[in-house]
Formats: sequence, structure tokens, C-alpha cells
Amino acid sequence: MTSPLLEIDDLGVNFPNGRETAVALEDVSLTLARGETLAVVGESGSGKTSLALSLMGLLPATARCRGRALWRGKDLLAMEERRLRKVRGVEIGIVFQDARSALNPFLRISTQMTELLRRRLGHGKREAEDRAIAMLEKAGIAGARERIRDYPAEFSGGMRQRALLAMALCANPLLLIADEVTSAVDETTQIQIVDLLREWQAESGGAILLITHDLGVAARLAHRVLVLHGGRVMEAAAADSLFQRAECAYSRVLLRAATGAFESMRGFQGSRQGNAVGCTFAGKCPDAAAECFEQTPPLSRIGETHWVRCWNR
Amino acid sequence: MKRYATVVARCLLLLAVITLLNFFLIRLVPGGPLEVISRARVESGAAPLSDAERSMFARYYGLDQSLSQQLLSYGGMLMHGDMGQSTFFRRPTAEIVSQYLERTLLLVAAGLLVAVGAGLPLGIISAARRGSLFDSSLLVVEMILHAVPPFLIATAALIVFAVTLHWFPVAGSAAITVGESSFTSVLRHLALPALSLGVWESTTVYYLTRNAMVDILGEDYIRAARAKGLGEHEVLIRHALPALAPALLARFSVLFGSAIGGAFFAEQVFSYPGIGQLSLTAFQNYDYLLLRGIFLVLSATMLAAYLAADLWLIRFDIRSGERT
Amino acid sequence: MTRRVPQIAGLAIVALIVTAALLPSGQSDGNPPFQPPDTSHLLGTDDLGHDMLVEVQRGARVSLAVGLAVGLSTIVLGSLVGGMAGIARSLDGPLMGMVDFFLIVPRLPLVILVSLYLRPSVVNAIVLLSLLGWPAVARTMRPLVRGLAQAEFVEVVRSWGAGPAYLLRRHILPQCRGVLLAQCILEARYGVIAEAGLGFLGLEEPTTKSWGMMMAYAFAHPATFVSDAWTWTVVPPALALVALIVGLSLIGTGLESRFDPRMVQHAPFKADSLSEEGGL
Repeated sequence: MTSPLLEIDDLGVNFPNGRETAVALEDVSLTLARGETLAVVGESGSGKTSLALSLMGLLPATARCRGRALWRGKDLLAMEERRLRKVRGVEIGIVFQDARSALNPFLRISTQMTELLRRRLGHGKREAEDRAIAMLEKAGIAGARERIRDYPAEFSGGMRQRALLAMALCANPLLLIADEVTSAVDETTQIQIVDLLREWQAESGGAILLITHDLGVAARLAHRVLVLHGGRVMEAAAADSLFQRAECAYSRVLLRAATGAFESMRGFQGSRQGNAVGCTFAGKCPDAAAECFEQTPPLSRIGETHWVRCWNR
Repeated sequence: MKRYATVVARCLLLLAVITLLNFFLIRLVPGGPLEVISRARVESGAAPLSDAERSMFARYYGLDQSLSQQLLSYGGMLMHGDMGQSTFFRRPTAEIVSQYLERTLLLVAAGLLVAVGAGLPLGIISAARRGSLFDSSLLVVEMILHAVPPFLIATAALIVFAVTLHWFPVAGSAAITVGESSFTSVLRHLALPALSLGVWESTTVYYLTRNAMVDILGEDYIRAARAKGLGEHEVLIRHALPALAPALLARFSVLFGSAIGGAFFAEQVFSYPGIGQLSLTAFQNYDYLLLRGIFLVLSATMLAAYLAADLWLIRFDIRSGERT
Repeated sequence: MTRRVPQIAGLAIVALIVTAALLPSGQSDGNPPFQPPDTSHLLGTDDLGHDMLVEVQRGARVSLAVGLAVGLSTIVLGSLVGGMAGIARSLDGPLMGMVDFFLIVPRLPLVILVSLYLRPSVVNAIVLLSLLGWPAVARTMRPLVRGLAQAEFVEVVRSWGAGPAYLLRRHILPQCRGVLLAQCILEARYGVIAEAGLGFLGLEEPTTKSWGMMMAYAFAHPATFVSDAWTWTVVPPALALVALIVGLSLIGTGLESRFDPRMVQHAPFKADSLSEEGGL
């Protein structure tokens, strides 16, 4: 059994602000092996993006981290900047959420796409461009050879997202963190992006950390699913187990939303302040009992690979 | 294309407004220009304006015809590049103004060069090292320097370099004799005024650069560039600087305008024969025709600078599709 | 608390100058010209035999008066126009268009050029500076007023039949006290700089005792730089001027950082307004 690529242990991220502290993540643990896709699911404010940023060392200066994040045996959270830089892009690639702002509007797409290949991996200009064009075409951008010379403003929203994805995949990282890459695009593009990811994973054997609020997308790609709420892991299971029988009430809410049923009950929005006592979903949970408000349930194992944080299971 | 058209149209409109304003400013002179000139003549011991002179002036200032006729004839004159005859110099206004303006523009260009050369790098480094000791102390220094009015900086330069170090002559250190045009002599006369102007403007450039840079460094695409594992220097040069150019270009007009203002003072301290000095001479001698020509040409020059900056900005915009 | 140090220092400087200005000034003329500083004349005498210390003190009054006048008039006009634009949507477009137009114009060059046509006077300078100064204030006030106008308590008062003028006067503008104060100080600072500049160029009444004019006279005299006279005829008013401007800057930018959180992230000393004006 090969050791996992990524092993996160009790990760906590918070933002102290004077007397208050905003908690983005608390007690998050997960493992990720080669060729595996782990979906981290939750709504905005659940801490998903903080998870991604903490791994890359790109959290704002005001953030405080706890715990360990072992990447191939070395703790990312304790790594010095120089070493971390070596990991970024080449070993761990990240595709950010807002394609419009993640692309430098003042540089051509070609410049931005070939940057990694040329400056970090030593490719020549021609070679790098060819690879970029090939990847763009795979991502579904027609006439990539001409369009690559465009500026981001000349690409549509869907094309930008694809270009961002292609940019990260070009470098063939060991792990790809995809942060809400299907959220801002239409359904057809969504399907194409999912296919691209699947294809890439099959060819390169890379791992994917899929961050999304859409369980439907997770269903198509993920081997395992982690449900986050209020910065805590609420449920962790193999994809099939979760979709067959979600134990946590919040997971069920997400499932219903993914299948299109309108859900009036919404979860937590925005990171919470300080130490929340009790289960973070207690206020909206139909099965909430008194103890759900008073004590935080621990993450307990209910199946071979199925964990849930709930007093009722 | 349409954006180019709107910018040019707006400039032309402004030009029209300025021309009109210029025309009417004469009427601001308390008592009327003719009276003032006449009185000044008497005060200096000469004879008051003769009837012939009065009618000549009245014609030039357009004071003898109806308003619409005056405007028309003024407009007509301008079309021919005729701005009347300066009473003090007894030469065509257009000629004098362009001569002096040239020298001022040279001064402004040199000053801006110094300003950007000093302020830009410091601003960039300050932003990149925001919060550090370097940044904080530099901010203090710049704030104090910024609080010194331009004529004081010029005075300080005069005191240090001319009076104390004797590198330059004190009186008339920049007085250019007519006809002198060798390169080194121009430089010698330009040095102190340009240095003073540049030092003063550099604080503005510093603040502008630093603020723009801080904003840029907070953008998502900078974070995305870092996520690629690029080093800080690379991120700065390859990603941040291209974003800086349009930001600064947008403020160029402010810089240019204030540089013209500063030039007035630099010229006064060093007796540099630029348009600032010319306007004061015109003022002291009640040469209103000259003043009118100066006002028009100076405004038109600034308008041209704004236009150039605006047009460049549009060009950048098309390339980057910047959301405003 | 160390954050407040620059502000307090600024306040101290300005207070010192104000106090000095308010003291009764003694006789200044009737002395031998160009006397170096000694016990009877702490700062020496100028080319006409005036006691420099007294002259500098008198100059403080001019600068402070101009600063105050410009500061007050610009915030009154600016908050009026900005307030109206913020509260009445129909007026917003045309008013702001006018403001934007004014903002293109470089202030001091225009003031100088127009002054050349007029009889040199301090009052003219104040009027011109104010006329070109209020647009900047209006531009700052408008979004503030806009935001406040949408607050709930405004809706409540509006439902009682309150008109926009009343709303502005009683409810909205008082909330903006801090920002207005900061703007006032910064505009006053600009007034001081501009007035000194105009004085230096000789665009004030010849009898005005302003720091700028004092330096202008000193410059005009051939002996000033040949001898050591400049050390006491040029330096004192220069230093006093710098002190006043620095003092006002410290107070003004300190206030601005405090009352406009949006700008705090730029610099511990707020630099935006200073760079906005581009100096002149």
C-alpha cells in the first residue's frame, strides 16, 4: 500500500481580529492517494477555499493555521517559502474559482499559460506553446492556435475557465486542486470540464481535490466525498456510500439541492465567530435534540470508510 | 473606435470652452484693460493712450464691436494663428509665447523624468515591502518632503548648490542669452530648476505608484501567479508592472498639470525664461494681449497632454478589457 | 495609541502657530536694515528694517486666515453639492458631471493665470482657490451621502414627510462630521500652500505680510544671497511655512485614515488625498 500523497491532520484555520476570531476550518483531516479524486463539498463560507489556500501557503497574512498537512511526507504548513514555491504549480496545481480575476488582464493567454512551463520546467517557447495549444484544444477551445494570442478580455466566461484549467493541467501536477471550476459556467461547459478532468486523471494518474458545492458534479468525478459545514467535517464517505445513504442531515440537504428539489432550508453562510458550541448545523437540523446545541459531536466511524459527526448516529 | 471619437470630441469641446473663457477673461480686468494700461502709462511718467492707440487696442481686444462680431473676429484671428501683438515686446504674441513655452516644456519634461526616475522605483519597492521599516520610514520622509511647497524646494536647491557649494552662479543662474543654444549650456541652465521640480513631483509619483501597486498586489491574478510557484521578483516584474502602466497613465494628466504649476515657481526662483516668467512679465506690464495668448496656449497644451494620455489609455483598455 | 502620535504632533504644531499668531504683535519697523539676529531682534531685520520675528508672526495670521477661509468654504460648498447629488438621484448626473469637469482642471495653474488678470489680492486668491476646491470635496461626499441616505433611519424620517434638505442638514451631514473635518483640514493645508505660492509670485497686495511675499521681497533684493542675510530673511518664513503645512498634513491624514476605513489599507499616513491633488 503506497503512502498517500496528501495527509491532512487536524487542520484548523482561523483569522484573529482583535477580540473576535473568525474560524474558517476546524479539525479537518483527510487523506488523498495517487489517482484518487476527493470532493470537498459545502456551501460558501464552509471553509473549502481556505483549505485549498492553506495547502498552497496562499492564505492572507492574517490567517493562523494549526495541524499538519503532509505532502509526500513533508508538512506544507511548516515549510519555508522557498521550498513551498517549488511545490506550487509543478507538484500541486490549483485552479481558482473566479476565472475573470484569476487571469492577468494585461498579459496574453499564451504568456500566462506558458509561464509555468518555461520558467519552472525549462521548456522552450515553441515547445511550451505547442503544449498549451494542445491542452486548450482538449479543453474544447476551437482554433486554439490563433486564440491563444488573445487577451483574457477577449475570451468568454466559459472559455476563461477552460483556459485556467488547461493552464494548470499543462504542467501535469501530481495533485490538482479545482476550486469551484464548474460553478460559473453553463451546463454544457460543466460536462466538458468534468470530462476533461476525468480524462486527465486517467492519462496522468494525478489526484484531484475537487472543491464544489454541487454534489451532482461530485457524483460524476469523486471517489470519496467530504462534507464541510461551518468549517467542520460533517461527513466523510466513499462516493457511493454517501449517495446511497447520507447519514448527516446537512448532507441530505445538499443531495436534495443537487437533484434539483428546491430546498428552503439553507445551511450556514459565512465563517463563524469564535468557538461554536454544539453542532454547527443544529439550528437547521430536523433531528436536532438538546444535546446537539450543547456539545459538539465528535467524528465517529459508522462504516469501513464512512464517518459522520452527529449525535444521532 | 467609438471611444476614440468621444474622447476627441470631448477635448474639442473643452478647447472651445477654454477659448471662450479666454476671450471673456479680459473683461475681468477691473476697470477695463484700456483704462488700466492708460493709468499705468501715466504712472510711469509716459503719456496716456492716444486715440490712435486706443482704437488699435480696442480692435485687438475686440472691444469696439458688438459681442458676436468680436467673437467672430477673435475666432478668425485664431484660425490664422494670429494672437495679436504684444504691447510690451512689440512682437507677435504667437511668436513669443511659443518660444517661451518651448523652454517650459523642456523644463517640465526634464522634471518629470527626474520625478519618475526617483519616485517610481521607490513607490514599487515600498508597496512590495508594505509595512516594513523601509516602507514606514520612507512614507514619513515623503510626507515631509511633500509638505514643502515647490518654491521652497527650489529655494533650498538654490541655497545648497549655488550659495553654499558655488556650483552654479546665484543670480541669473539660468538666464539664457538670446542665441545661446549649445547643448551643455542648456543643460547647465536646466539642471537646478529641473532638479527642484523633479524632486517635488517625485513625492506625488511615489504616492501614486505606491497606492496603485498596493491595489495591484492585492488582486487575484497576482495570487494566481504566486500559485504557480513564481518568485516574488518574477511576480512583480512579469505580472504587477504591466498592470501598473495603465494605472499611472490615468494619473498622468494630474502629474502634468501640477508640473506646469510647479514650473511657475521653479522658473521664478532661478529666473528661468519660461512661460511662467513670461506671464509675470506680462502681468507687471499690463500686457493683456500677451496674457490672453499665454492662457490659451497653456490650456491647449495641457489639453493636448490629457488627450494623449486618454488616447493611450483607450488603447490599453482595448487590450486588457479592464472593467472600470 | 502610538497610531495617534503623528496626529497629536500635528495638532501641537498647529496650536503653537495659532497661539503665536494670536499674540499681539509689537512694533516692527524703524530699525536698521539687514541686521543679523541679536538680543534685541531675535531673528534679525529684513531689507526695510522690519523685525523678522514680528513679521513672521504677522505672516502666520495671513496663512491661517487663508487656510481657514479656504477650508471652510470648500467644505460648505462641497458638502452642499455632494449632498444634493447623493440624495436626489435626478441631480446626481448633471452635478457630478460638473464636478468631474472641474476636477480635470489643474488648480493652481488656473488660479495663477486668472489672478494675473485681476488686481492682486488675498481675497481674490481665497475666492479662486475655493471655487476650484469644492469639487474635490463634493466628490468625496457624494458616495457617503448616498450610502447614508439608504440607511433605515432615513427611510423612517422620510416617511414622516421630511424633505431632502432637512434630511441632509439634520441627519446625514452630521454623521459625516469626521470626514468633513478631515477634508476641511486638508483643504486648508492646500490653501496655505497655494497662498504662499501666490505671494511668492507677487500676486498679493504689496502690503500683505504673508510668508510668501516676505520671501519674494527677499529674493528681489540683490544683497540677500550675496551676504548671509538669507539665513534670517529667507529661512525663518520658509521654516514656519513648512511647519504649518506639516502640522496640517499630520492632522488631516490622520483624521482621514480614522474616518474613512476604505483608505486605511494604503498607508499609515493616508496618502491618497495628497496624491489626488497631485500636489497642485
